[in-house]
Amino acid sequence: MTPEFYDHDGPGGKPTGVNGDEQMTLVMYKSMPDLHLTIEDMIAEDDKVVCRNVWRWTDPKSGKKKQFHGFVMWRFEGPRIAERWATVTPPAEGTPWSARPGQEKKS
Amino acid sequence: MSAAVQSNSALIASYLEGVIRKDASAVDKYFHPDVEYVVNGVETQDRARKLPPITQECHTALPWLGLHRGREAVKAFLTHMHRNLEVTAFGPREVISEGNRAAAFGWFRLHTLPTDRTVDISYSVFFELRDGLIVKYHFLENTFDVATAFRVGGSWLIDADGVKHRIPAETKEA
Repeated sequence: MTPEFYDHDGPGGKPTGVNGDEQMTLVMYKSMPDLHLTIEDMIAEDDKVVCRNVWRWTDPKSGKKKQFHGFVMWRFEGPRIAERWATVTPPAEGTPWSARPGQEKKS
Repeated sequence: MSAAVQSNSALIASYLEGVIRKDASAVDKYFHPDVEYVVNGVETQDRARKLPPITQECHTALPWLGLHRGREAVKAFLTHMHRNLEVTAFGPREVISEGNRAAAFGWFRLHTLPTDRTVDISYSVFFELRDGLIVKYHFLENTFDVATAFRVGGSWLIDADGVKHRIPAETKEA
């Protein structure tokens, strides 16, 4: 990220900078130890990239599979990210990332 | 900015302005007859599992959310939504485009009719075009903020950081 990185939609929907996003990521890694991100779709144009993502993980306390979805856009300055926008859904119970129709494990 | 970006930017701007004007003809003008119009997510898991699920709780709070197939279903969604809220403005938006797909990020100003509240909500929309018309439209917004704008009573008890916090009801009169 650039030193002046600006996240328009940081934690709680509030703008933040490099430190805010670093803290958000660390919290996610701690509370979602097996977090897996699937990029379902991607659009790139000039200095911007948008991804349609699904985040899936196992809740360590309950053992339940969880997921949330969202669209994230980044603007680059050279090789570094200068801005971020995001809209995500609330966490919900979900399926393991590897389970696609017809691939579910039978118990 | 490429011609495609200008075109998709103008397309989404025209449609969103149609939503503000409650102009149902915008649906016929900008959407493909086979449009798949998703507002936040789906009540029943889609086969590819690409779309977010909406909980029954969320759907009860905001019953116009979900998947709407075809132009008439989109018009019915807009009519249902406009019985409950008005969109009075859309803020500056970023639009990017690649081939027949595009995405927009911005905010809109929502006025709830039953609770008479006005709030600004961030949104993003991912859309796909066929024959110059939108054939896939997936709109995401902060449903918590939207539902809160309609809330008229009831407190919440939240367990976070090892402490239980009570969030009192935000009533219109409060």
